[in-house]
Amino acid sequence: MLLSIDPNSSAPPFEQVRAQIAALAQAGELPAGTRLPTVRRLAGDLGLAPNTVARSYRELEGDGIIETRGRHGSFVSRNGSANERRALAAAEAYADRLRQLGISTEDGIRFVRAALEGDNRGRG
Amino acid sequence: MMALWWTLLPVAGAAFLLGILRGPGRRERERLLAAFTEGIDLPATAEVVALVDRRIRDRSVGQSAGGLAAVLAFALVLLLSPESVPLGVTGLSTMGIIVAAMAAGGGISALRQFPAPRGPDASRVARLDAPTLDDYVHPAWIWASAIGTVAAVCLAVWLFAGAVPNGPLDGGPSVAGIAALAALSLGGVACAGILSRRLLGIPQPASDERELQWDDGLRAYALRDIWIASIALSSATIVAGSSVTFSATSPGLYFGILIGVAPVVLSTLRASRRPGRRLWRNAGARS
Repeated sequence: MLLSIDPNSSAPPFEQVRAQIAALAQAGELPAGTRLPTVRRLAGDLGLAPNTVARSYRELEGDGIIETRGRHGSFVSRNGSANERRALAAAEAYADRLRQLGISTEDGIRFVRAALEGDNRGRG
Repeated sequence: MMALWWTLLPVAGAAFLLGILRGPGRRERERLLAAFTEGIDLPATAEVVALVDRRIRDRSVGQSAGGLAAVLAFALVLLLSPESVPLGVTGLSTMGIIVAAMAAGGGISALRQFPAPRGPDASRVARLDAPTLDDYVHPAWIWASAIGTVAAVCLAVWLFAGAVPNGPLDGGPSVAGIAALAALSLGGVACAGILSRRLLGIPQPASDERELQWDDGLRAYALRDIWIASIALSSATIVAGSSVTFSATSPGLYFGILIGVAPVVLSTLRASRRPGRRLWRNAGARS
């Protein structure tokens, strides 16, 4: 799994690193729990200053895409991205509401599927 | 015999010193470069050939430096303890130590960050998954080193405890000498582990997948050198120990000789394609 940096790109190097790691993690190509190279190592490989890579990692951590476990290094977050966490919170709220309304799990899933398919049809 | 050693050592020392100062000659470099590139079997650009040539030159200089260090150490031992002149089978342990020093020198020469082949302004690639030692060196090398060291230490302890079936040979190594060699091989395997970790942590500057593949090939070459050094140290101990343990007609002695020669054979093996198989399985599909 390769990361590339184009010095002629209009995007600054820290953003190129951040965007590529985020895209790979969200596409599942970097599975949760994958250990990322150290800041110093990645900076050396890419010919960047360690601060540049550290900034990318900080932003990825802020977005919930990666997590830093002290001296063990940085890992792709098991909680998914910030958007995934928000979706999970919404799903939990929905499940609570279904229980309050006394609606069965099967019906709840059916409503979600219908809503999502309706959404897809609307977009298509 | 002493006169022979004092003739051989300055000649070997001068040859190694020349190797450090001048590096390998043009024809030798061409031969080494061809052997390496054929072994790796990847398409090579002009930048890659220049990179491999530079690194092979560094490796050769490192080997000469290691060889010179071994010759100097050997000369020091002869000065301090002239009775330690190795004779017959034990001479193989001297060869083992020189092979170990040369291999270690070659491996250590790769312990620095090399510049990117296409310069600092070119685009760069980096891998996000960290390869392990297993991706570069077959576990058999590490096992051979560990087993050899355990055997060397056991043999030294056994001899040190007083079990010298045939008695010390004339001109052969003393039991204390064998114990020192065993300690050296124990240190060798520890150093091989530390150096391997260091080498795996060194950045790999590359502009595309191909350059990274070549760098992986060179890294495997350096890592193998480091483990050959460790194997050679333990085999030097085993061959020295077996010359004391077994009689001249014993098959055990010939087994010891076989182990003594093994590092020389290992150091002539062609470059490994293991990183290509393990790290670049899908490279063909991508490129």
